[in-house]
Amino acid sequence: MGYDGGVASLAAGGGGLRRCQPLYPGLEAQGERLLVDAARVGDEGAIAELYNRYFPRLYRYMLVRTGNVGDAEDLTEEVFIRVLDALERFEWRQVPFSAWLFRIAHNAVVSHQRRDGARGRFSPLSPNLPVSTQGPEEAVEARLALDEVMEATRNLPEAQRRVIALRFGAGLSVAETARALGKSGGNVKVIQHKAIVKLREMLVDKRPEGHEEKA
Amino acid sequence: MKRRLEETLEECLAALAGGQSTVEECLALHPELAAELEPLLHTARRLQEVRAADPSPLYAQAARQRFLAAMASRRQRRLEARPARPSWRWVPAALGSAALVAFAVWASVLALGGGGGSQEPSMVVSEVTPTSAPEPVVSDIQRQVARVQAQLEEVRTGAESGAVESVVIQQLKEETAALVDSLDEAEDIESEDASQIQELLTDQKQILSEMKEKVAPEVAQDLDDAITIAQAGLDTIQKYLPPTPTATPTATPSATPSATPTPTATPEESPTSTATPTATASATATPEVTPAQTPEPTPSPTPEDGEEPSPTATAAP
Repeated sequence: MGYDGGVASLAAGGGGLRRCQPLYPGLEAQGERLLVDAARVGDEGAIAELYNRYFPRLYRYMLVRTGNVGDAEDLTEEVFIRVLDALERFEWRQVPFSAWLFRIAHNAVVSHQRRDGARGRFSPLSPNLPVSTQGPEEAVEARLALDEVMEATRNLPEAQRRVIALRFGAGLSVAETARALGKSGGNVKVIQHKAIVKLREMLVDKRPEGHEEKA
Repeated sequence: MKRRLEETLEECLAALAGGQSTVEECLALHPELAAELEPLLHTARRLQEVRAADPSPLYAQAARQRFLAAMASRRQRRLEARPARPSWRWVPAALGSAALVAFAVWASVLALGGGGGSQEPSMVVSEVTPTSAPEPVVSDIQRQVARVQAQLEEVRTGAESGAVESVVIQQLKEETAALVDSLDEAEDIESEDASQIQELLTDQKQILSEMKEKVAPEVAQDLDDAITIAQAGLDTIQKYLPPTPTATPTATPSATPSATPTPTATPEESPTSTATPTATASATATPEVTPAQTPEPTPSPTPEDGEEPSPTATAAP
């Protein structure tokens, strides 16, 4: 079948927090195709494996899109339920699986924003939010840095924010991002560039004087 | 130049994300763009810190459990929908087929005088047997009906709470389209199922039409599409519906003139002699009809009598 784990590992808690997502998962595409095909015909092991793979990526995408841990959690779950219901209708000829999933995610965010107001609400990350770092001091620092980045991201125009969420939150490649957004790869690169320039301006403005950029 | 910067930025981002190089190495590779690239790469590195944010283990565990529960409930729903027709419900059909086979055997034996008929019955059996097997198409359709029902319910609930999401309408559209496609492809649908589908699609049309005034224009377009698809399904399902409600009015007129075609044919051939038709009619048709018909043709001119039955006569088959 080309995958392991499945429902048993999902139920046992394995894989949910797995850091298995390379930013450019090209080589995994073939294995993922097998997995998605099995999931489409109702193989629960395959569905569970897809959940394991995409759960952290979808969560981070939602975190960037909503800027709010509670909303990110709710929306992540909501999207997986939608995916579960729509999976058997997924067709390869339209878009890759990741692009399809993040389109559903985008629709969920839009619906959520419609319910909660245009931009949703931003709240600093919970101190309990795990951040993968070496020690407690670094974790605090990383969380503060993350808060700063997320708040800045929140002020980006919608198109730029979507690109940043897909590229840096979900870890999609330029090609996958392009498919998810229905744009060309070149267009995604342009938007990404503009977004980083804008973020740079916002982050520099907030930085205390004399603070050096560390490499 | 700008395009080159965008390309180089992406190249460096890929290398940084894959851990293949550092910011300094990237800058060294592209000295001509280093001044512009450097701040962008530092910002991008900060953005990559988002990847360090993990969902809390408590939440992850609870979410996983809920997802498993949702998967299990859907599995259950599928299982419930799958045995679309309990096997005992096929007994009448199977008995009917068996009776047909028996009759065919008996008839062919009779027709052949019992002598060389040994081949015929076996042929009949082999032809009839497949029809008694349970069909896969109907149960597929019933599963699709269940999906449309569930989706419509979701739309209805959303409408009641005042928040109908376009995705939900889209899904309803897709489910309904799949059902309608299956109706087009189906070889046969039981009248009971057909009535259920008719009721469902009628409900759908009504619910969606009522919603149209209360939703955003882009959702209204989806609603229109879903209504059109439902109507297409209603048109298709007509042929599978039992004729009971419409049969009563059509049966009455077709029964009365069924005796008259014989007289109408005769007057056209010999318009002058009005008495002859009644004679031929009474000879061929049933006795109850003849008394009612006989007084009429004699006083009235033939063309009027001849006009009326002809359309009903053609409509009868």
